[in-house]
Amino acid sequence: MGKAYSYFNVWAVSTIVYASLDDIDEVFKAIERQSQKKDSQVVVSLRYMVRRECFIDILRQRGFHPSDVDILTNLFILIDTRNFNECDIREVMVSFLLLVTKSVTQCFEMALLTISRGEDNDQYLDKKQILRVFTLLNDTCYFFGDKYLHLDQVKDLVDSLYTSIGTALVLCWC
Amino acid sequence: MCYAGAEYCLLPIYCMFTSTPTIGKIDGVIYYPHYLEFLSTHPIIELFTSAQFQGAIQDKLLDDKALERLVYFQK
Repeated sequence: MGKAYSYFNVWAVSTIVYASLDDIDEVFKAIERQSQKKDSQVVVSLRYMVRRECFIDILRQRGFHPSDVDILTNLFILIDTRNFNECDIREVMVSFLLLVTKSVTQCFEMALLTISRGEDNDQYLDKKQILRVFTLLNDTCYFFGDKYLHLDQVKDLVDSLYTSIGTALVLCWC
Repeated sequence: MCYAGAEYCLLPIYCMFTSTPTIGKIDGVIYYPHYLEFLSTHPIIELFTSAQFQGAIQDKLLDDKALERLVYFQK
């Protein structure tokens, strides 16, 4: 979040974050490299499902600042609601992007790019994925103490994206 | 149906009518780079990022008294 959003707690936290977008990309590359190894302990079931200890190890290996590691670990716990000690690392990074990006447009772009990482249809997302991205961003704002949108408003946002596409309204009124 | 004594459910009927404008796109995939501008200038996002909605950052921070109250309740 940039200076224009200085009334956000997220912005206040982003001023003490050292990591950049390139660092996040490096983490993904490290995970992808490890997932290709057959005896890897990092990826458990799916491509980006990573255990917490392994995630922290990777962050330290990539030279992340200890405070960034703490923030990412907290975001990991926030997303790992079932306490399985593993979660999709793309979701953690989507939450973390709020602290790294400079504008709303850049945040959305990078978040959608991150969630579609590793998918067959690159840059194509279905409704469930888009809803997940906005829910994550909303939850992260709540986690840092900012005011949040109700789930109905998040659903309305995604619904309106779909109704804005194509000639659906013409079909309705015919 | 209600008059005849049969059970009816209002919600599916409401969903049927509200989903009519989204025919053909409700479950599809979209090419999101085309809609980034739309999303970032959406009224809900404008509302969310407005200072009026978020309020001053001083109001969100916990002062000493608020922290004491929290610690008291946790005990």
